[in-house]
Amino acid sequence: MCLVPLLLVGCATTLQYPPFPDQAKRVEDPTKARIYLIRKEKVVGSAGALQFFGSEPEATGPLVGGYSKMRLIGEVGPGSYLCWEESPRPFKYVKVQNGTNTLDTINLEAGNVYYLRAYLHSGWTRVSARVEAVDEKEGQELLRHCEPPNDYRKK
Amino acid sequence: MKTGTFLKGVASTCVLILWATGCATDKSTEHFPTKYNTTDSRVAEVGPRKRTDDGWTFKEPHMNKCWIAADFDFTGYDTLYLAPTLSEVTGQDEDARRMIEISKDAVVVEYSRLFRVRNLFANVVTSETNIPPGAHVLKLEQTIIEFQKGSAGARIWAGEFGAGQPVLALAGKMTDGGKPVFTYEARRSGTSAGARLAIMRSDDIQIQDIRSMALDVSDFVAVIAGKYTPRN
Repeated sequence: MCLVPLLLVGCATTLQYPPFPDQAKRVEDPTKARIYLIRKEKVVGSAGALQFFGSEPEATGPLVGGYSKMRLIGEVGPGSYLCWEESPRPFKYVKVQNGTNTLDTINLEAGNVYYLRAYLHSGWTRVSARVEAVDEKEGQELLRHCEPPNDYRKK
Repeated sequence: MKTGTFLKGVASTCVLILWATGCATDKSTEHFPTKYNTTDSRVAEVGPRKRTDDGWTFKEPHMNKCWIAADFDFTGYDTLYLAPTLSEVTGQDEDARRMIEISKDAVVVEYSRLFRVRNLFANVVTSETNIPPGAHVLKLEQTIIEFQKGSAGARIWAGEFGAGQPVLALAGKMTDGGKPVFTYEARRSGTSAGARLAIMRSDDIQIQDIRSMALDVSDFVAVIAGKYTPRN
């Protein structure tokens, strides 16, 4: 799992490639775990979309960013979230953009819901994308301020 | 007073005439609305159309060519099969060949995503083995007919003016049991804002260009299938 920011100007679209599960259910497929990737921040300078990569079968997007093995799960703009379901397995993700030594693992269990918060961290010289796991209470609170991918927003 | 009443009468007549014109839309005539409200609050434009011997040719503003067979409207099918992308062009070097392969893959991925989201077909499959038995299938086969890999160096110096942008053109053919029912050609060269800022890789710019083509083609299909509301 890897996180890479795509610094685009203008409004960032949020899109995802795995099926977007029914939000009325806690988990649509009880044999799988649900993952939310939430990006709440809406401050100036955060308009670009963050790309979140994964491995098949869940990551069904194109091969972008020069990666030959990792496919895109989706792109998340400010004030938005992605949501997909994966089979139980150790789910590895990089906590700091391009920081392979910041790998973290979540052991996905069927029927459970996991929340990841994505954000841009501004340092002295550069901005980096980061991801951290949050508990259900915080995850639900973040979701209240965010919208699903553009294709699944209520019209 | 009389003049005021007269003017009111003229205004009402004009409004009624315009209203009547707007409603005189018929799928069998050349008069056809050109702009539509999409289900995700955008405006889709398909342009005017002309009858040809075997169907309709649209002057679709996002495509170089666009044709559908007479009396065909994409409905009545339960499965869309997106065939592997073909290419008429070969890259001049290893990097170009790699980009063409990425684009061939991305065409299927992006068209598949957008056709699924549009809910036009119950099944959107990318492999013949996944076509349900007895399904009423449309097959969409796409070919890369033009490719340039672009130049990151040129984009740094004059990217905002369009220099160094990669180019990708697609020709699509949709068939029903081997009979062509929809064909199009579209071309893109750095459509996204990021492409102009010299911060994106050429292959990532082409992904954005493919998304743009997939959006317009799926919008066109949605319009003809009657999924969007006419604006004019």
